[in-house]
Amino acid sequence: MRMWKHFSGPERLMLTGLPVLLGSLALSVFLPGGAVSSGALWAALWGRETEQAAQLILFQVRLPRALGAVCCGAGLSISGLLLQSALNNPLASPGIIGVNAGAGLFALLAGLLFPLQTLARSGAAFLGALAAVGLIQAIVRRAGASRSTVILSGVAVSSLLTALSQAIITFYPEAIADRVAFTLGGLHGLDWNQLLFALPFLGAGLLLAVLFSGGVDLFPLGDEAAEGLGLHVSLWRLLTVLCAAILAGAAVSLCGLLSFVGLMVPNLIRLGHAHSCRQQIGLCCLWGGSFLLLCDCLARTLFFPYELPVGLLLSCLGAPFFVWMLIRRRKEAGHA
Amino acid sequence: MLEVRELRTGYGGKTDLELERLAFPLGTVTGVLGRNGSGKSTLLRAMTGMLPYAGEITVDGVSLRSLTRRQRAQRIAYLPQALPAPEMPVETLVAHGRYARLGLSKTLGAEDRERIRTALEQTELWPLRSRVLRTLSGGERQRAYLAMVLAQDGDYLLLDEPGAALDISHREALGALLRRVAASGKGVVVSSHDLPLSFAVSDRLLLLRRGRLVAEGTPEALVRERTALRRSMDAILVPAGNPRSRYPYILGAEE
Repeated sequence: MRMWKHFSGPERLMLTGLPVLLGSLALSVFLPGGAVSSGALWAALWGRETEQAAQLILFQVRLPRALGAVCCGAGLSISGLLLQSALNNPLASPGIIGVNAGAGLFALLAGLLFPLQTLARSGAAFLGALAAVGLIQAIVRRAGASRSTVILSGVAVSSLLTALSQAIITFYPEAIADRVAFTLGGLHGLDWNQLLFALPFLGAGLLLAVLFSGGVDLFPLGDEAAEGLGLHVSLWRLLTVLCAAILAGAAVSLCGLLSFVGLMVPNLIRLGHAHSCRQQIGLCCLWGGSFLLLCDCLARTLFFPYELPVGLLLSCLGAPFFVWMLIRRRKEAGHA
Repeated sequence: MLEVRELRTGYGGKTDLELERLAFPLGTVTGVLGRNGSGKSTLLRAMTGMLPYAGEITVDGVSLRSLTRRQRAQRIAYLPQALPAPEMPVETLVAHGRYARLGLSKTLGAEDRERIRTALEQTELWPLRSRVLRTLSGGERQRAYLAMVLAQDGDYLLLDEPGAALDISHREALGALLRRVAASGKGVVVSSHDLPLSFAVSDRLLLLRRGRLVAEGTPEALVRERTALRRSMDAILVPAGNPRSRYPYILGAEE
């Protein structure tokens, strides 16, 4: 206990984060429910279960779902963290750069063109997220990469892409059923193919985020001071937004438009006094993954045998959190 | 030597500042004076390469345009006027001063830590090093940013109104610090509205008015020749005439 006092806030979060993540993983994988008991799943893990159903559920349903939750939670959290730093706005999240609108439109198109092919929808969602951000980057390159330009371009592009989605739904009303599930977001039915598709992008995004973290740390000092220290601010901002888009796009391809993860987790981590971006990235991996896993477990058990889409639960948690953030910011501004 | 030749620069494609020839030698403090909008900040921004410019700016004979941002930041440290208060401890802010000197991993070495410690001690911030910037007073925050550019360890320091938020004693300490920095061989360029302090600290002064140079010279020469000071600052300075005075010159009234 005496040693615990010597650790800083971020170190404590790091030390507790790993066991919490492992515990959440175990909980998600072995959560009782459905036709198979926890004991049967545990036995299946060690190859002792003769019943094929337990093996199938463990390896084809529970494991990809749990690992997918960790990947999505980490990816969305890091994406939110990068955007909040690049735009100097703690209320920013991947939706602000058009990720949701782009992914939503492309997923809708894929649903129409290649119905029942989950991988096609994943790929399309990822491409849509990148296309939206590419469009924003093109605007920003002409209009200048200031924080407000990025945000306003995001609003313009999102509005356009959402209008296109609505137009498609008007002409092809059957597309809406698929769209509702995608828009709410959830981890139900996530398979290995989707996970293997998203993993390289998540890995590349994580690597880039760590590489960019030194420059990202300078954003809060203001553009002029950061330039004075040798940072190419506009280029770095564009690269950071692109990296956030890769991470969010890959996450969206797995779990649909999960809202609030990218907003909540980085802000909660900052409460633990983690000030360096690299530290925050590590903590986002641990706590973002655990957060989504635990939310998913809750969504599965809350109204058992019915399962809530985890996106619905996140919105219920996220909306009050957003309001709390606004009030907290106002109080801080009053004290400053 | 930081040199400016036939410089034309400004915002939005306009020419807001036009200067023929200026030199900022190592080992000296140059004060840049002028009223609001006279071009002080514009000059400092151009000399850090942040504003597009026509003409030539050279750092020790090398064109500023040929330097990468990193190379430029290793030679020229710049402290802007507007300084935000991020959620960041003082020591972390000062460590950011080393950004251009760190490798890809951005890990601080022994020399970096030593520079950071020295900068914190020079600005009397060592006891406050763990405090978060947002919780500091305006003056303490300004000193923290000053420590950051000191840690940057450039050959030239361009400081835009570094004493604006400081109380009298810290302004004096700032003046003494700038003299020490110049004595250690660095070229210091300071824009300021504080006439007595600028005249006390600077080896040489530039007086700007509406983007043009009105006069340059030593403090003594500019006090003697009152017209230039009156034109650029709408004020005059007179010798304090009292050995207990804080500054050698004080604001005077027209006869």
